[in-house]
Amino acid sequence: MLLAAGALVVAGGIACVAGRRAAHVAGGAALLLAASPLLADPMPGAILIAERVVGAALAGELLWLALRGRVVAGSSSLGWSPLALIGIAAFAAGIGAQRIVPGAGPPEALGTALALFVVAAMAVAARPDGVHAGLAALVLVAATGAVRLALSGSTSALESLLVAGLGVAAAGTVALLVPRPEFTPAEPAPDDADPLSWVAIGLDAGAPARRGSVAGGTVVTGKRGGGPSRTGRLR
Amino acid sequence: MTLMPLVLVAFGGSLLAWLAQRAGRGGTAAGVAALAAFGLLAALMPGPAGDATLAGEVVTQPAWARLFLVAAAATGILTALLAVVVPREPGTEGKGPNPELDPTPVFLAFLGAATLALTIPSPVTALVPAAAAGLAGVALGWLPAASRVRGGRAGAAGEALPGAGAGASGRRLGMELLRISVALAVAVTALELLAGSADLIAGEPFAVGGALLALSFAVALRVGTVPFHGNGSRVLGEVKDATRPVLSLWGPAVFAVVALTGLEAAIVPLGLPLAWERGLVAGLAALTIVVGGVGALTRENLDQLVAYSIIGDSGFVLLAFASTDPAVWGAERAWLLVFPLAKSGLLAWALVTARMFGSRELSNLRGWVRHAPVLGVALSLVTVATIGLPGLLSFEVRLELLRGAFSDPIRSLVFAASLTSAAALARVVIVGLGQPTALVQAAPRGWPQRPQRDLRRRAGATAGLALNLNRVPASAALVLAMSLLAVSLGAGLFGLRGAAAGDVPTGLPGAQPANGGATPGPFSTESPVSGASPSPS
Repeated sequence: MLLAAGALVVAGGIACVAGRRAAHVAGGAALLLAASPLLADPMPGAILIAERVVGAALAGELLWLALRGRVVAGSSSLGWSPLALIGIAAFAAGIGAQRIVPGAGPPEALGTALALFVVAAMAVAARPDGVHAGLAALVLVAATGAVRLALSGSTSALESLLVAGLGVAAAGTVALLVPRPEFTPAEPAPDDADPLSWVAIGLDAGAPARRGSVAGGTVVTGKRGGGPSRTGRLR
Repeated sequence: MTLMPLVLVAFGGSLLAWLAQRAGRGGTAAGVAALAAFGLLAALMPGPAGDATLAGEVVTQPAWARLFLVAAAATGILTALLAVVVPREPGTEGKGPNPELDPTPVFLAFLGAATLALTIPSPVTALVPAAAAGLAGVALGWLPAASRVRGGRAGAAGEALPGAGAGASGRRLGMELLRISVALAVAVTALELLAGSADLIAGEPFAVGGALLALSFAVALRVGTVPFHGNGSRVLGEVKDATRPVLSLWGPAVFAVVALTGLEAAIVPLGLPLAWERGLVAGLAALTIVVGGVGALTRENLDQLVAYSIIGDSGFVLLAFASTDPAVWGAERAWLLVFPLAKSGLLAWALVTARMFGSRELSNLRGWVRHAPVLGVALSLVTVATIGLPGLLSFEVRLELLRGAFSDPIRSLVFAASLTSAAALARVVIVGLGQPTALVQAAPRGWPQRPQRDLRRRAGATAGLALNLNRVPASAALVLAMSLLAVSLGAGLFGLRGAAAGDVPTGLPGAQPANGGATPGPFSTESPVSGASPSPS
């Protein structure tokens, strides 16, 4: 069980930093954060696991909303397969290292932590952009939690909640670092317009679109107070 | 139990202010109200006797944490008011509130995480919210104007939209996020290895030295000392003005104080000299002080000058990790409150000066003091708050941190080098006393004005007109208020001396106290330290 949890966490970390599609990155981040508490021995209570899963889902959702439709070039110059091999090697080394550094937690947690550290190091070695540096940071946050589980055993409910909150905050920060395009009124808006923008539907497709009005097939999003407006066609 | 209301007010207020800011209406008002409520709640927080358990973790409410939170909330309120009244950039006059400047969501998010970090006594657990406290500045520091791809066509997914994370400032903010997580990982691992329940390396001097270096490395990375100062000095000029205090001052201060708690709880009680390791950290701190001072002295751009001034004084944060003297506990905590407060005043001064005169280049600002004497007084007060004068707390604190880390003559040399920070600010004042340039002369005067009487005008319109006429004096008054607050704390008012020296942490499970537990150092008394500790130099 612990071995499977460790494998899931490392796989999530690799998908997070090496994924080329937004779904892979978001899913990997969610898997990374959701499976991390399963490395504790004894297993935490159902409520704590549920808290972490909810936090992981929220983190994945934030990344998905921000990254979908974008070019995600991948921060690692290595593909997922070399990263997986390196991760497996680090995982095995970490399990072996538990004999030298005997903590109160399971050896699988130390192996997972070491594998995540190596994956994050590989990700940042390729001079990443802001978003990918942030994704590597997310992997490091999970690795830090695994170190705690490996050396101290189970943590308190508050700490578990704080780690979940830090994961969400880091994912949210990465999402906010994704640049938004600036649209002129004549340009169509993408499907993934900023979900928090003030949205209204225009009255008349032929007339200049106004916020707060309804029209066939025209979506107007924008901010009050002079922010840039986006106009596009419904899809 | 006042902890949960504090956290709820902070995070709830941050979300509310952020959403209101995005809607373009009432963001600053909601944020200021939440900051005021938070400040009041924090001021009423019970003293050290009010320990409690929260979700399986002991939480305390130390006096220093209360002072820190109230000071940060007050800074947030003053900065928010400054954002409303500060002179607008050309072309944006009279277009409603400027969300780029509203700092309330950032400060409130920071305060929520800082509350948790400062009230959890276990340093390993507290490091997690301490890292989160720094995220607020990174998350909301992005400048949308820099992120936009002008003329970009929105088309099919993955083709026309900009690549994720493009842009120099986005990369720097991403690197800041990475630095925060690396610092967290290193500090947690070091403390876990040193004093976690595994008790693995606590008896090994070499390993303890390694843990000390790792902890110092984490703090250096987070605070941005040499050699990690490059990204921090550049990012300061590329993020929103509103997020600068949290990004470069308050967030790192919370992380440093939690790391200091770990040092006091896990390393100091072991009583090991660790001369080489402490010497290395002390050397790094001295180098930071010199580089920061020289950098500030030679820079012409206000943003860079302020950034290097911050870097130079952040070297004092690192000095506590080079000291064997338990007295540095109080000195370092006092410094970690005075430092962000005074430098927030410096950032506010730089913002107002740049907006008032329309330039950030010192060569264009000759004669600025003659034109805006209130701003000149504010800058002088900020300098006094940072460097201090003999008899003031900030001066004693700097001396005590130097005493803990160095012995003479190196101590005197580093002290002299640290005064270059004051020289850099004095140079700005001297430039301001010269003959004003045409740019300075064209700027609005810093004295209050009354709008012309017109009985047909409504009261709201008159108030708006009065605000537009008096943006410069109102901004200068707010900067002066911030600098007065910093000077007050730098002088030791509000009980800072006693609050900083109290609440000495007990040893973590793996640390074996060498003298029956840590005791309050001489800092807790009125006199400065007289005996120098064993010095690595």
